[in-house]
Amino acid sequence: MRHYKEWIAGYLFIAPVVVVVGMFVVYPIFLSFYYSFTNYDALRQQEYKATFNLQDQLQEYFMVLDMKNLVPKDLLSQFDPVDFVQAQLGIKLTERQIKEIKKHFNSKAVIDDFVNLKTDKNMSGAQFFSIYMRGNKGMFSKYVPQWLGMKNFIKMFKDPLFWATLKNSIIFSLFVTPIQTILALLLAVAANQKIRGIKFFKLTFYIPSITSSAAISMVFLLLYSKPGLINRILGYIGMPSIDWLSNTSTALPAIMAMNIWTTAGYFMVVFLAGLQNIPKSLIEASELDGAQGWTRFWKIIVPLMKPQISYVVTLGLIGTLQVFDQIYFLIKNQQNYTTSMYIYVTAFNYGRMGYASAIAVAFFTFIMVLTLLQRHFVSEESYF
Amino acid sequence: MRKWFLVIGMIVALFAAAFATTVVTLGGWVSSPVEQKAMKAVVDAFNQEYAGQIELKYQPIPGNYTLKLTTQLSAGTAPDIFYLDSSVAQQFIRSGAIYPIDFLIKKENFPITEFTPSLLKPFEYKGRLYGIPKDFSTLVLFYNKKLFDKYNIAYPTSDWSWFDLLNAAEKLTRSEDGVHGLGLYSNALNRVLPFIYQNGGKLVNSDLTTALDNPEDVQAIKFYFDLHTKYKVAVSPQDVGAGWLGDEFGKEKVAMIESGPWAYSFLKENYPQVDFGVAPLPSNRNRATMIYTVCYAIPRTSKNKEAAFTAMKFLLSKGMRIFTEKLGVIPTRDSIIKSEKLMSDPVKRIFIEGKEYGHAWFIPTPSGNSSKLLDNVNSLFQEIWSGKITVEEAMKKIVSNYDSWVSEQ
Repeated sequence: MRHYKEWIAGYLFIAPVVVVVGMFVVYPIFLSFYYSFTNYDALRQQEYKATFNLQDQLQEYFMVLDMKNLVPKDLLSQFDPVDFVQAQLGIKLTERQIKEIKKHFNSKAVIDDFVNLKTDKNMSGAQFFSIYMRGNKGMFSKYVPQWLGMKNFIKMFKDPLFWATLKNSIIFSLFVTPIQTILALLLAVAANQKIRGIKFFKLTFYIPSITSSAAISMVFLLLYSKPGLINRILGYIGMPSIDWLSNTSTALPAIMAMNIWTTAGYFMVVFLAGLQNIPKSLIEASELDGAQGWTRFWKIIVPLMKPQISYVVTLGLIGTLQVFDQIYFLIKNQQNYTTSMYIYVTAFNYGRMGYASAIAVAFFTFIMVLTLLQRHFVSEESYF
Repeated sequence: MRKWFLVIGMIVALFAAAFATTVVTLGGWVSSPVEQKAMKAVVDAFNQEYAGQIELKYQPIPGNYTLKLTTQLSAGTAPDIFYLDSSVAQQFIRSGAIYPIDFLIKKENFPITEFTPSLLKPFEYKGRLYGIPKDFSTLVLFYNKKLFDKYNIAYPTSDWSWFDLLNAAEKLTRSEDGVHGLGLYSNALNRVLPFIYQNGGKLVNSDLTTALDNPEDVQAIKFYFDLHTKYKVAVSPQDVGAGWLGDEFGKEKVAMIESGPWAYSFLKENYPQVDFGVAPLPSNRNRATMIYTVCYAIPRTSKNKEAAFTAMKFLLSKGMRIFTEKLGVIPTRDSIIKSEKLMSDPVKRIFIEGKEYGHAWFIPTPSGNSSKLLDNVNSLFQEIWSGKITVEEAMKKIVSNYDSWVSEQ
């Protein structure tokens, strides 16, 4: 019994996190898996919930301003429920729904209520159908995206832009991950020296990674612009000036350089912690054995840092494959989009949530497999 | 004791008053402080006139407007009235999220005929109207008087042809002064489009397939890009390190640009030393320009559509007058253009006349969404500009991919 109480207390303690993470992370992830098999359109979410005044809608449909002298028979012959629902109420119908309406919709009841002035009230689309359908009302209670099966995925395989963006993402990752890891390691070794003012250097290395990505992007926008600093320096050695970010062949390398610069400092801290964890006795022992400089670095320090390296490479791989903000701020041309940027524009600018979800699911699988492979080949075990 | 009754009584009265008035919310993008102030004046004027009946609340939407609006519409929390730009209106209208207002217009006898048809077109779908434009802008030709005088060239006039434009631009391009004749965007379909219309071309065929590969269109697109690649008289803002065309013109890197009223106020404010004039865009076979407009729309999810329309009518009458006076925007209603005597202003007149021969900026597509098409076309335009591909090659790509850019799924 006491155990049971503890159990409740424990769950209550973690409840806030479970609820928040569940609502804003886990639930959306599962939904996007579902949407990837549909043609989900966010703008249609309220189709059956939005309210309208039925009399107004019918008056507009029949184009009558005066509610006197209405002839039910004439109205009934003019009334096409499918057309009324689609054109007037703005609810899109599937083939099956149209069939159901033709079979079960009580047009006469609508016209009778209209003529007898009983329709001057607000109702939602769902209510409208539940009043005037004789059967199968459940089909008209809320917006259900159309199930497409694998169509989104098949389309993705045929989409040249998807492959172009995937290629960009992979190139980005292949260049940035090793360079940022090596750079971070070197920075960490440098920052681990006992020299005067080392704190200043540590701070300088770390500042890029705590600065907002938007601010950094703006600075680099100026650096990379045609009359910017980089072109001016290149001008001194006689190189023509390049519009780095608009030019499709230089845009991605430019972002890569910037990304390395911003993330190396962050990973340096990880390596620094690892370096400080290496027992002094080991270093001293190696010194006694005559290992100097580079030998010590490659033969002693690097192997001892294996867990940190594995951690940094994993995080770097995931981080670079998902790079979004810098691309969002700086890249203008579609040819240079990365996959995560392509997912964003497809969902929010092109209005194709289902297709974007499919790409997201495929990309998620790709990153997961890659990470698993990497963890399989690089062990994380520590030497001490 | 009595005091308490008074207090309770007042609270009850307050609540009663609060429940009696219908609250209508108004959403729009966040704009300049001046515009915010003008908007506040309009809202205050409305609340004074309709005190006790309708209360208008202004709720600006910060950040990515289209994105936030999509979220709000799908959650059912969109404002009762909101701004909708002509270039994205169709995707919202065709999804069924916007409430058609024809019946309200008819019922309340709103004088919709005062609005030029070209301004209403982007907000129509299948014979129904989904929004009424609040103001508009058109593209004109800005020219730097000092540079024209310096090289002894006659100012642009309303009957300038493409040939005159090219001729003047060639004379104005002086490498020794670092000046080019013309500033153009390297990757914007909406700025190439006036040239296409001027050449008798069109954007889409009646079956919504692309018309960009028609001979008239190709010729116009070629002319536009030749100004940069062949005649070398035009440069983009990026080429000279300017933020946008207005900036490029203000820095006197170019002698002419194709831009709208926003550049006019920008130049007056930021580059008062630059002496410039405006003229209608040059024409070839036709006279044409681009119209940019924004409407007020009501979502289907609104619970107070009639009250919202009452507020909308106010925004389109007294509100529009306040905006015209305080911000200098161009009103969409002919009666306000007349009563504010805007046609006697030689500059405003040129902007206003554009609505008679201009085309509203939007691309009709089967799904209503044209963003993917636009991104792709603009990408290709950038490549033409930088000389990587020819116009013909770009058109071939556009034609063969068009369906996948505009299809519904």
